[in-house]
Amino acid sequence: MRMRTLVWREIFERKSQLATSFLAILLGITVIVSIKNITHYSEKAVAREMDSLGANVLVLPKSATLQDYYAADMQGDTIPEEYVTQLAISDLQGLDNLSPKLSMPITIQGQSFTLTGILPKSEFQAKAAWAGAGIFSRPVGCGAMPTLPFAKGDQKTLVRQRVINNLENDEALVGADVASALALKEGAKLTFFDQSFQVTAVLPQTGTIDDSRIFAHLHRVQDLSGKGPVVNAIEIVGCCQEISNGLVAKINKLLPEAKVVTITQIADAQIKMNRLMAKLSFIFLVIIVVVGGAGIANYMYANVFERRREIGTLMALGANASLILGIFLFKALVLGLAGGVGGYLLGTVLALTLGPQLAGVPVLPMPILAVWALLISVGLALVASYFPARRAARLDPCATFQEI
Amino acid sequence: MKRLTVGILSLALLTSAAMGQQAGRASNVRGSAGQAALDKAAAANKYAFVFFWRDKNPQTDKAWAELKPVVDKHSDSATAVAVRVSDPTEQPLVARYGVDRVKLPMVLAIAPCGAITKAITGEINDDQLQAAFVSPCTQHCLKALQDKKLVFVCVTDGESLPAADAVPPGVQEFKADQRFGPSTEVVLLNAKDAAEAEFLQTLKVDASQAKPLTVFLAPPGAVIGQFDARTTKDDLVKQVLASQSNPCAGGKCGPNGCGPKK
Repeated sequence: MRMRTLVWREIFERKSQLATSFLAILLGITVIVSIKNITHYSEKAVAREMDSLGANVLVLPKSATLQDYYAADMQGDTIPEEYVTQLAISDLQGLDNLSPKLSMPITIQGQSFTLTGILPKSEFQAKAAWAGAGIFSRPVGCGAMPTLPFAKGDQKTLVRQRVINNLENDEALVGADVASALALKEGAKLTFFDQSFQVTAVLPQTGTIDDSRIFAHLHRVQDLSGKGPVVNAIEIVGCCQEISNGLVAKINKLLPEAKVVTITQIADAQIKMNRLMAKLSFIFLVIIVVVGGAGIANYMYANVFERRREIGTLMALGANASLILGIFLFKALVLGLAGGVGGYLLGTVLALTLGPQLAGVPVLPMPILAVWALLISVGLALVASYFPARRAARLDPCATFQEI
Repeated sequence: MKRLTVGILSLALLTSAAMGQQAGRASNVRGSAGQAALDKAAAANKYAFVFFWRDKNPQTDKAWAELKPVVDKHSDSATAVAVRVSDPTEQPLVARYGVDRVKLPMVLAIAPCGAITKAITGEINDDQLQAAFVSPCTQHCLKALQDKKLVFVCVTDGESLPAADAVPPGVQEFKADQRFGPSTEVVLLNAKDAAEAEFLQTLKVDASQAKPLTVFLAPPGAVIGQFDARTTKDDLVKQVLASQSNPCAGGKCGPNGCGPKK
């Protein structure tokens, strides 16, 4: 009789215990795979959102809520525009693009849009040079580009870089939805509040609230809103290295009347959920190792104890210790493989079904998790079975027959 | 070639040196005490510390009281003047420096060439005042950058080369190009000049090195690169364009990086 046949028969000898051990592995792997799968796509979604924002630090009024960060510049409270100059002339390292914004609702041809005032880079960058000689030692390569005097600049970069070089008082940029709704093209005239603007750029579709915005010069929007020299928010592209060195705290110290947050903080709820899920998957890993491992070990020990006569007979017939060891380890291998494959399939189905509901993100199968699932389940089954198998291999045939 | 070099250099340096005075004359306003003080300080080769204020209140009084004695300590090289931003006669000055939407009171340190070398909005003390006094090359670089110009700082050892030859041919050609020339300044810097040691250190230039080199600056104060004498105009143009095509040059972009993706 070949070893494979022996093992196959052995597996189905004690079905209930086998089913319990298999279930322990299967469920553990299922949970780990599904959590890991959902977490991966959730993290990717957060990264995508943060990347689409461009800026990574926001300066907001103290009262601003972060429930809807994209609407953060639409709340009623404001901060003084002079904060922009304070930031520009400060000796803080790692402040690159600054993008102050003031927004107000606007209705054109019966349709509602958002009018957002922005300050072109040319107007605050000159003040950045007031920092004196220290400006030459500021870090470079953090996303900010030097301004070239002869370069006009592409205004469509606004959606990605949050700032444009120049914007005249009578110029406006429109989001994709605004252009579509009002049939606007570059060079068209746009009139609101009895003021005429020339559309200098139609911004590409972003899938965000920016698509329904009309961007004009900050000072013009301030005049139209009657709010004076204030802004709703200042977006900052900050150097990551400086952010990790406490840039946010330094801005807070410079502007104590404002709320300074990182985009990471804004996406905090999602990030916290991802961390929770990562911790959960770790806890389940521990549970599967302890419970599953103990279950398998117990099953194998019981199996060895109950079948010591057969083991003794096999050994009396010439089976050596390695064959006995091999039979039990092969059995564990089959158990681990079945649990791993089943757990991966079930976990993936769960992730694909529950992911969009739990995390609000589309989830796709991750083949790499199959490798991890197999490694964990097979490794666990083999380790848990090794000592019972070794005990079986060391049985003395004479002793087992004396017990009969 | 040598004549061309000398011509370009002379023109650049003369333009640079006279920049502040020209700006001052062009915008001189009858009755503006601030402008008059600026002109007088520039003529005397002194720094002007212009104290911009809006309302008379304890904060304004305290700031002026802090500034005046500190400036007086340096009366041989500095002078102070107060400018009320709501004063109609000072409006051209206020508009020129764009101080109508900044936190006041604020002090601007203005070098004799017209460069703003420091802006002080908080507590005023001697250390801050000292930081405003910068070397002549730093002044000229700041002035050009504040005028939104590109700057080539040509560093020489001050001995082995005549000043005119310190400007590499590539830089001369760049300056002569009609696309870039009007927006470009060339500043000569003697590496042996002790007054410029700090500026060289800021530019990360080793003053003890043997070969002359050029540091390329762009507004507001970005160091685009350092080049040796062999660098051609095409290399410089390529470098300028590269600095515009990649917002993350030398950095890391994307979700885990610093800036937005291209």
